[in-house]
Amino acid sequence: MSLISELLKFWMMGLAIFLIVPVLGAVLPWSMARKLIHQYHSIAMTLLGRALLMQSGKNSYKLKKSTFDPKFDAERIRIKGKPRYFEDAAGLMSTFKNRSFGLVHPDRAVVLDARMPWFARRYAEMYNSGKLWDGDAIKAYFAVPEGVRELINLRDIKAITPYPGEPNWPDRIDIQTEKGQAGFNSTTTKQQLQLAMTALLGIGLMWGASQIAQSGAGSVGGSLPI
Amino acid sequence: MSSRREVLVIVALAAAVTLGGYFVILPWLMPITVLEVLQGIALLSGIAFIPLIAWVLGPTLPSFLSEPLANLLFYLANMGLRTGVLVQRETDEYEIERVTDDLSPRSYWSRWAGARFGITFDATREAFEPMLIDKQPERVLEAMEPQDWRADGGTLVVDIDRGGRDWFASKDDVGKLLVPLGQKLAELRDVAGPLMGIEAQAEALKDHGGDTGEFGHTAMLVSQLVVFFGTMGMGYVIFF
Repeated sequence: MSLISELLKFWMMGLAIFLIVPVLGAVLPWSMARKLIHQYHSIAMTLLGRALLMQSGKNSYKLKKSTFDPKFDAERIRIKGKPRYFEDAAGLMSTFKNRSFGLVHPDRAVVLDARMPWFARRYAEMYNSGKLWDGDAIKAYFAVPEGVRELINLRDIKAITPYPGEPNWPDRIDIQTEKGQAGFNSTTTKQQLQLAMTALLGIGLMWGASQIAQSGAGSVGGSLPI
Repeated sequence: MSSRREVLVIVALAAAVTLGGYFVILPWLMPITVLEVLQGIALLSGIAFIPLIAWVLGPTLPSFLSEPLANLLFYLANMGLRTGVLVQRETDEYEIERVTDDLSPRSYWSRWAGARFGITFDATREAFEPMLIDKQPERVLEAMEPQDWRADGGTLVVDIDRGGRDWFASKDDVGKLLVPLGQKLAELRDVAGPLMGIEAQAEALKDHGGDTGEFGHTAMLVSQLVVFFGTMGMGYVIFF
């Protein structure tokens, strides 16, 4: 028993070393820490297989394990136990550490990449300033400063998706359809009941007819004048 | 990066070195017993446990286990990262980098798993040309033919009405890329939601549809007539 607890102590020490090591990257220069931290990202992505980075709240993100659902041709994640769907309508799903990876906003049922919100913001700026239209035509190109990085915010995508599908649509539609179809199911029961009653009516009519025929035959026979 | 976290890291490093030295390095300097070999194996297996779980089981782990574990690893790695950006490379792949310069807009800085965090992309020519449209390079090649280009005030831009309505790099002399508003934006705007709604409706009807494949009103009437006359016939046979 003491041998097992001794070995368990060492095993846990090994686990602790594995968990502490990436934190050390904070005091190392990036050139040294880079490979170490990327290795941890790689292990995490291997665990997930597919993942979506979802904006949650105004300025924070959550990483969610994703599954491709062929039924809806969409990526499925679970939020508070409920399924949410994001369709890769524009083929923007890419990779992170060789695993499928995309960006999503919880209000829009589409997979995004880092470029789309940038264009959406520019689009909204031009639209609001009245510069989008060039005569009758949309000015259909934007200048991107080459080599200059700008941060993006996924919520900017709302500017170009005014009539979106929502990630909870399939779930909501499923619940509503189940409710709506419940009437049809009770109709089926009613129909089966009607058929049984029809059968009873048919056989009852014949029974009644046979009773009348029997009593009718007796009375006719007894009352005929000779 | 707060100095408090740096102190914590240094303390953790010192603790790891002390413990490692006492339990691992010191015994190695002396004759090794079987117990010590076992201890070494236990230590190594502890270090390798999570990577092994990841590589052996990987995505087959249920999400209630893999998601928290992956987020824990990201949290620890991001503590080492301090301030990072998720960069979409010109090849479309993502990578996380530590940044020291302050990118703009400042209000777009966020937090993710313990790190100050932002998302950006590499605005290079390689990022925009040649684009793959739905993984069909032939469409791109066709669209990139010289006749699809036109001069526009000294700047060459792609005629988006021909060849493919997607974005392409165009050449100018001011260090900027001109990128047309493309098909992908249009697809995002028009297609995603309603299409998924229609698919969801069809799937839900498949799952919950009541009598759609059974009786219609006419079929019900015919069935009732058949049953009615059938039972009358049976009654005739039985009672007469």
